[in-house]
Amino acid sequence: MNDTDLIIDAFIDDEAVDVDALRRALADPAGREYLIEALALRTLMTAEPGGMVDAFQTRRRATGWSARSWAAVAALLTIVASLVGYTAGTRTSDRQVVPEPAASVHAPSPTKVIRLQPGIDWTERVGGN
Amino acid sequence: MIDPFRGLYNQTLPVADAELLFSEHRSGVFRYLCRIVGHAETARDLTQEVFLRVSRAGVPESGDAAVRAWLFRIARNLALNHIRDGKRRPQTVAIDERAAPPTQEIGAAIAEALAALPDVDRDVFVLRESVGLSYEDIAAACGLTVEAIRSRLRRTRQELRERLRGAIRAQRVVRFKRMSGDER
Repeated sequence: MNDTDLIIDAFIDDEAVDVDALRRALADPAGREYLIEALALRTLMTAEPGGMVDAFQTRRRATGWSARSWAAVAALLTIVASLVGYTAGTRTSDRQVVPEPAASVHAPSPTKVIRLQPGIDWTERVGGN
Repeated sequence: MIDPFRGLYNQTLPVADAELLFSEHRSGVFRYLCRIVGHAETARDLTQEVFLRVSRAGVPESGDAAVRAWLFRIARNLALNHIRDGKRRPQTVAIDERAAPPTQEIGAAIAEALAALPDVDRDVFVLRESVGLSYEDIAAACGLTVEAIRSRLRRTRQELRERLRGAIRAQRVVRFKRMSGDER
């Protein structure tokens, strides 16, 4: 462990480094080897291992349908059902035969006449009943 | 220890800023927690808990760096509590049947190597390498000085180079990936 490592660490970590110091560090074969290994270590660390992919996305894929998806499907079904109902209703109403109103309507003649006389067919009492 | 965020709590930003914070840092917090607790599902739950606490507490009205450090300090405290509670030891690593066996072996080796580190060194290293926080942000999140961060990073890298020598040497391709600023 020496200053060369520190200079290269700072360089790959976006820290400000002295140009001459960096030149000297990279002129040293050990420094170049350290740089390569540090970058290889970074490559290992930044690679997403299988189990560490963004769980937010995987969960969404795993569960398949989010609440928003279900709401969208429900809205779509509602629209489709409304359109189908409207279309069917329109076609059906076109075929309906509306009866013409009768020109003149007469009440039928009575076939039997019932006459009710007070005192015979009923009697009135005070207080009802 | 003196709370570096003391004085920030009185002023909070609206909920919209908490949502912005969530969209900007959700992945970083999740990556950090994944590496620390070693289990994606647990990390997801803890990430939600972090932002739940943020929404309850309100986001301090301060600079981006201070807010970022404050956020990761919450995540760090939750992760440490979780580990200390013994609910999940960091040695464990989620097994994913979809992943190729060599990937799983490397993942397990990384998890094992990280678990062997002292808590603080592991936090410092993961906050730097997996999340991309600056030395200043890590120092604020961990309550350490920048010099201490520099020293711990150097020591941890050296140790991990030894522990993961096989995997490091097996790397045929490396990429100079800037781990700061917009890379998050």
